[in-house]
Amino acid sequence: MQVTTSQKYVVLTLVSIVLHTFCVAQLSYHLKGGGVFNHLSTSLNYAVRNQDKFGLTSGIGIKYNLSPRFSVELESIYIQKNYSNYRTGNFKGIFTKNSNSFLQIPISLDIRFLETKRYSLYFKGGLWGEYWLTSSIKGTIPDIFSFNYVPTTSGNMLQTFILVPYKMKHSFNNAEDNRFMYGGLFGCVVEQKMTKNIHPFAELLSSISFSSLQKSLKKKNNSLILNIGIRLIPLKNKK
Amino acid sequence: MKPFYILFFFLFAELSSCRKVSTEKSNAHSLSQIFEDFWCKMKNNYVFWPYDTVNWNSTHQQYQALFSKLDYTKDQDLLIAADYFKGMTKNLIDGHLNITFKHPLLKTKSIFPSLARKENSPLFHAPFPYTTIIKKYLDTNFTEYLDTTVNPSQYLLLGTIQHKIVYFNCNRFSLAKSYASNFRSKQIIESFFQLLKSANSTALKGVIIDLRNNSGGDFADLNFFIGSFISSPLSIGYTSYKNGSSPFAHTPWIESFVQPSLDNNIQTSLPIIVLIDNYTSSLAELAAMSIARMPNSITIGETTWGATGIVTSSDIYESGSFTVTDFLSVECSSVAFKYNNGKIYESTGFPPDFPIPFDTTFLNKKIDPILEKAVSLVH
Repeated sequence: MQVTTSQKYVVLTLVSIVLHTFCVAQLSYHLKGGGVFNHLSTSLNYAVRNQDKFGLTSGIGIKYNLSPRFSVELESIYIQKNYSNYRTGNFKGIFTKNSNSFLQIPISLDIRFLETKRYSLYFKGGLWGEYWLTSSIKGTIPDIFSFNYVPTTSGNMLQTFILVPYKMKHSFNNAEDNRFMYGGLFGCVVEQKMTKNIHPFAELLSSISFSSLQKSLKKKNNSLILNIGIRLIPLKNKK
Repeated sequence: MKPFYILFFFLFAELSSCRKVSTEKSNAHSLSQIFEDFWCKMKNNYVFWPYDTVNWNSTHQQYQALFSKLDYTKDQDLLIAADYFKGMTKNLIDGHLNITFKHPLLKTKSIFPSLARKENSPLFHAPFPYTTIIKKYLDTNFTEYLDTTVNPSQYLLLGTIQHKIVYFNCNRFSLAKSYASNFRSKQIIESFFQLLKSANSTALKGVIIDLRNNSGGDFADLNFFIGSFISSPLSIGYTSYKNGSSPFAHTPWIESFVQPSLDNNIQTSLPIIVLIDNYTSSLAELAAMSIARMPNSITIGETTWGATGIVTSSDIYESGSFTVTDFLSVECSSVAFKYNNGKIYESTGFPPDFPIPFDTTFLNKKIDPILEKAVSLVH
């Protein structure tokens, strides 16, 4: 495999950054992943019910300790925010499930408010910006060509139809879709001091979107996120 | 105790984000608000945005300021508002789009953009009552019936031409309903099917289905009537439905089939000739397009109206027809339709295999050139 000069520079730069941060006391890194329970908040009053859906998230981050109590965190996260809506009554069976993925960059302030020999507890609050990467929809729709009226025993006519399944990739439309969004997050983090330089942690976060998925309608993703992760602390941190 | 406060904070944040959705309300006494309501509902309900050239956002910019100057209490301003609605919608392609006003002053001011466009065409003509001329061509034993038990009433005409060609005409499609509820209609429809079933043992050479001036009707007739001519599902095109609140949120094109009729099965090998004109619209166009997919079919006449989208109750697809308070109501397609060849004939109309222009010089002499062409093709 040929390695170009620019690729060499990129690798060397990354190695230098890692080595440098291991020598700097205030920095630590983490990897995390977990589940997202997403709720779509919308102003539409259609005869549909929204249903919260589960998604996945994973990311990497860097944490800088400002003081023993305060630190800031910058992360790069892949996050799925899914939702579905479905019809009830005569149109039971009609649904759409929207699967959306985003690249999110959160910046947050961590406040350590409880510390024991083995555990630390933080409050975390911050802001995020995200870019809507992909969107796909699957669902069912009544085939209008299958509509039929069947007489019931009571003499009424019952409308019947066949549901057709479909799957599609959403094509983004600049006039309608907001692909750049921002919002806020807050939550708490429990961190275990397993070894001097490895700290597993769990966090529960509430993420609220300040911007809508669509420019002309209110459609906001609000999520509850549960992550587990591992924080890697360079040895020099533990003087 | 601190962690419990934090958990409570999370729960509060989540619950507060699950608030009930607000309903759109419009103030009936503000033309500006009526305009906003109309504009939003058109944006949400209109199914042809992905295929229409009209930029609805620009329309908003153009008309918002104009409507803001109008006063609901002034009659003159109400008339101006009606003209603005006409201007906003004049280029929308939906052939079904029709706006009627509920306000007493504007009741006569209905807006029908596709008709307005046709009226500006040099080829425009008023609907022509072909029936009296047609009867001249029919053998004497023809039957006709006006079924007033269905709404709107349905006219049926069945006969033969030179005892060799079956001729059937209906002015709209309520055949399945009429068949189920009216003995006289059932007799005519059954006679038509019977004639075709016995075609092999008789001297019949073809069948003419006259859909001129047929304004469409019940969707169930597609399977009931056209389905009688097929033994397996007939692919005629594709439908696309709204699947979200965005104007461009549509399902992929889903293949559409006419299903074989369970009640009647003709499966004739006779040539089926469909007569169409500028007033063949809506379901009648889909019927003509369906027959055109059959190998033994020919279409003759004029290009159809161009209302191939499908109108149905708006509560099924969350698209199509709607009302704006007690001021106006809008009828429009709920589902977009694309023909088997990939073309959308909305607004442009479906062209016949044998185009014959409308010509009053022949019709005034009681000559029907379209019917004569059909007869000549059978021979």
